[in-house]
Amino acid sequence: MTTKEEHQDKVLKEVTEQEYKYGFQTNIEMDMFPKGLNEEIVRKISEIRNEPDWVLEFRLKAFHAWQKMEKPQWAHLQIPEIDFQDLIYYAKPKPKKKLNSLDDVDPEILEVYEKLGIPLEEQKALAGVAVDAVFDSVSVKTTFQKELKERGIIFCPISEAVRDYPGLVKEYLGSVVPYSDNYYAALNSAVFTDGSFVYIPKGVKSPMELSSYFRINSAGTGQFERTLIIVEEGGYVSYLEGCTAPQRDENQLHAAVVELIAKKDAEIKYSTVQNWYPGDKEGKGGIFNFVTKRGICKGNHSKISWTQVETGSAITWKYPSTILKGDNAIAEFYSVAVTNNYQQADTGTKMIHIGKNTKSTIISKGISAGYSQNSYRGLVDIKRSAVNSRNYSVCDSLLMGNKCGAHTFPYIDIENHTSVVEHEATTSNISEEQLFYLQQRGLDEESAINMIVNGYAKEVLNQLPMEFAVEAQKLLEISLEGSVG
Amino acid sequence: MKLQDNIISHISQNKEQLWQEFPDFVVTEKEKAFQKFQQKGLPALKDEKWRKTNLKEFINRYYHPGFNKIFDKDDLVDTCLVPDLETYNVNLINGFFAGNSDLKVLENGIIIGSLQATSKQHPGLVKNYFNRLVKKSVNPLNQLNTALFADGLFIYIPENIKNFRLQLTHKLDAKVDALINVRNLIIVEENAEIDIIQCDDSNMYRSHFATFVSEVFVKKKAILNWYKYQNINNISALFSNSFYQVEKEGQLYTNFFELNGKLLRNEQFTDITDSDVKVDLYGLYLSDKIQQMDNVIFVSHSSGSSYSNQKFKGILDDSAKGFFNGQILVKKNAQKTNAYQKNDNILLTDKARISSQPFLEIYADDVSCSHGSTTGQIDEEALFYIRQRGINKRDAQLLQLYAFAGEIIDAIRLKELIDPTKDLVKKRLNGELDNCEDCILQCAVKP
Repeated sequence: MTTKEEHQDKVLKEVTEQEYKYGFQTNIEMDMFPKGLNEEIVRKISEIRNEPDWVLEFRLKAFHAWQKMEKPQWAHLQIPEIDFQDLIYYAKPKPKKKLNSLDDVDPEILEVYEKLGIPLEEQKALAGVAVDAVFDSVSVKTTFQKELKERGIIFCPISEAVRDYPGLVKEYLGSVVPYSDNYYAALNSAVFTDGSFVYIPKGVKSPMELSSYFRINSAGTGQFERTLIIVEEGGYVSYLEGCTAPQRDENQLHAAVVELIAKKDAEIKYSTVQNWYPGDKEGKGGIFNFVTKRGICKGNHSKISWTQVETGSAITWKYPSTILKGDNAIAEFYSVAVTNNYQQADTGTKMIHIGKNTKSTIISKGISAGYSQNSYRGLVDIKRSAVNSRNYSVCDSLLMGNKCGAHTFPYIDIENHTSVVEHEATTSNISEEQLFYLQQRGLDEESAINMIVNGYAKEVLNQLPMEFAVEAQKLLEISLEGSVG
Repeated sequence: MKLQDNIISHISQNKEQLWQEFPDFVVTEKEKAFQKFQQKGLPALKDEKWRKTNLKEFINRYYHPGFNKIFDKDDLVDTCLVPDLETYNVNLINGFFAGNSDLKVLENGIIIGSLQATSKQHPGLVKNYFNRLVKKSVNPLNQLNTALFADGLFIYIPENIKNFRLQLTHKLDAKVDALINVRNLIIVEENAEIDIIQCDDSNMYRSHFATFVSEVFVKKKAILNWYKYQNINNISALFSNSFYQVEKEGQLYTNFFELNGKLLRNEQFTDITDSDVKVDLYGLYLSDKIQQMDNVIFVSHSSGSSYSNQKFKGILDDSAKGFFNGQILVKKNAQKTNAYQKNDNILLTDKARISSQPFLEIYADDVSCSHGSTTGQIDEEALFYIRQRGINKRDAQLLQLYAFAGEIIDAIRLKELIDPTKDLVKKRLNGELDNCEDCILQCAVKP
């Protein structure tokens, strides 16, 4: 082995041996259901949350559909057998007292956010971001309600929305992701415990970025978030979702459903930084992230833009999709997916073109290191009615080391002869020339690689709101700095 | 599932009679394949690779399963000749090797003839290779083929033999609607070279459900060039599945033209086992009416420092459907692999549809791999430009389509084939090929 290779190995080793920086856990009393899932549990979840009958009905329909469904096997993933009867389907922090102001929030919970670097106060004061803090299953604190309310914007936990705005929720819940959509969506529909609800009225542009911070806490509980965002004609919202979870040995299941509805001239920007616990460097533990995210550009000239930075989770199964139903609708998907150690990711998007002159763009950047497997899987479906539609897709993969894998599985179905669809993909490693060039300029190897990776992902990171861009860049560095292929 | 039941009961009842002409090692494979087929059945829409290909109209039809040699052996005409090209000619009719004798050993040691006859006369040779590549296939049609084939072509090219050109006419010519299974085995020994020019042909009036499965071994430094022209009738389905194993410094080149047929499906599986291999796979599919043309391509790089390139282009008119699934697999130790893949399509109407799936699966880091897929229409600006020069709209369109197809035609390495191919493509784009009742290459040269 040459000294250079030795050095590379050393750097690689250092990086791969890096422990999860955000691994810590808080001890808060939890309300828990017994393990397992049956009709009674579903009824109990609904009951404890005082839900109206139609919600229970929705849950039960989903539960019965789920019982008959089979787990999807088509992804390029090796998923260990999950015993769905060995999970706890409801956990809620015990309210110690009624919360009127920020001071009333459980100090332990506040501390968690502080450790994560985003204390509520700071966010409230500095960033101007309203936070719907989701701690396990029930939202503990929602801020900025008042300011938003003045403009008619609704931003609240979905449990409140069910109670306060039943008409809206009833109309749209399950309208984009039907309860029978897939195995995990059905499971979520049956047992979802909380999540965010956003409603932007006609002509209103949200003055601030709405953000929900997700955490999984209690050992062995799955988290089933349900997010519903509705933007009326001419409205705009940018929604941020970020997650990080404490270190655990047992696998935890996360099966969320996100539904977006954009009416005429409306725009939704949905950004995610996903950093669930990925498991240790032997591949033990880690979160299973099986998420169904879908938006619909319902009205003409509407726009939905997904941006995601995926660095965490032991297994990621996630395809944020857009149905372009309105004419002249626009959809975008920007993704950076990083896998290291024994992580597996099968992620991508679906662009379903129905309306005329619809346009979609897919930019996907995969980075794999260690023993990980990273797949892009995407569908571009141009229906016969989608006259003059356009799609442009780029899927690049970067391999760091020779024990990992990078895969690309694009599906392109075209039924319209006036549309133009282009897809291209490349797979490569960090080139010696690039490294040499940067090192010649006096950068050490690590910084050089960092710079190359950041440059590689820039196209996507640029799409993130400021608050997220910094965190995302940090996450990239943590996950990969120094890795050399 | 009439066809499936039909096949299973036919084999179960007539096993002994069907397999009696084959030596034990073939029968063993046939038995295993039959069991697999019984388990899996015919491909269905739920199978990942068949989601875009509906076999409904075929599997509910009655096809005569037990086919015998029904033609007169001496009644053979070499109809399909390429002008100015000397070739050794072979005819397969309904899967049976047709010739003066079933098996010939040429002066230079080349063995050519019926696979069934070879398996009895040279069992050692056949046993080494037979079903080695096909048995792992998950496509049930391959198991059906193994279980039910009655004959096919065997070719053995000994070491250092070059300049052997074979012209193969494969005709589906049943008197009733029939199930036809052809099995071929091609072995190209070290440093040998062979060109195969193949025409798939059919009569005009019967529906055929045909599988044409080939196992091909390209040894060290050997070269195989394979040209294929497919032109069958509008009620038949032809599934051509080829399995290649290419050894060190070997070269494989295929160029398949799918010109006419209700359903044409070419599956090609290439295993690159060693370094410095060169694989080029080209294809052009031209479909109209309610035809469907599929290409399923799989290139596996088991070893590094090799090169592969896939290039497939299609023009789809009327209500035609197309399916392209291309996959490059680069295994862990296959460093320094260069692998490329491209699929381009033109849709001419709003009823035509294409599904394109260019896949990459890569486990080695020091590789250069890319894939691309485009789908579009005739370029209006270019059309305007051409029409400005006084060319009418139809001709201007044809000119553009012809230019689009040109890239695949230009990839032909055998210069004598270029002109007939150009002619064929022109005629096809003009809609004239339907009337061709002779072998397709004959139609090409007719005025």
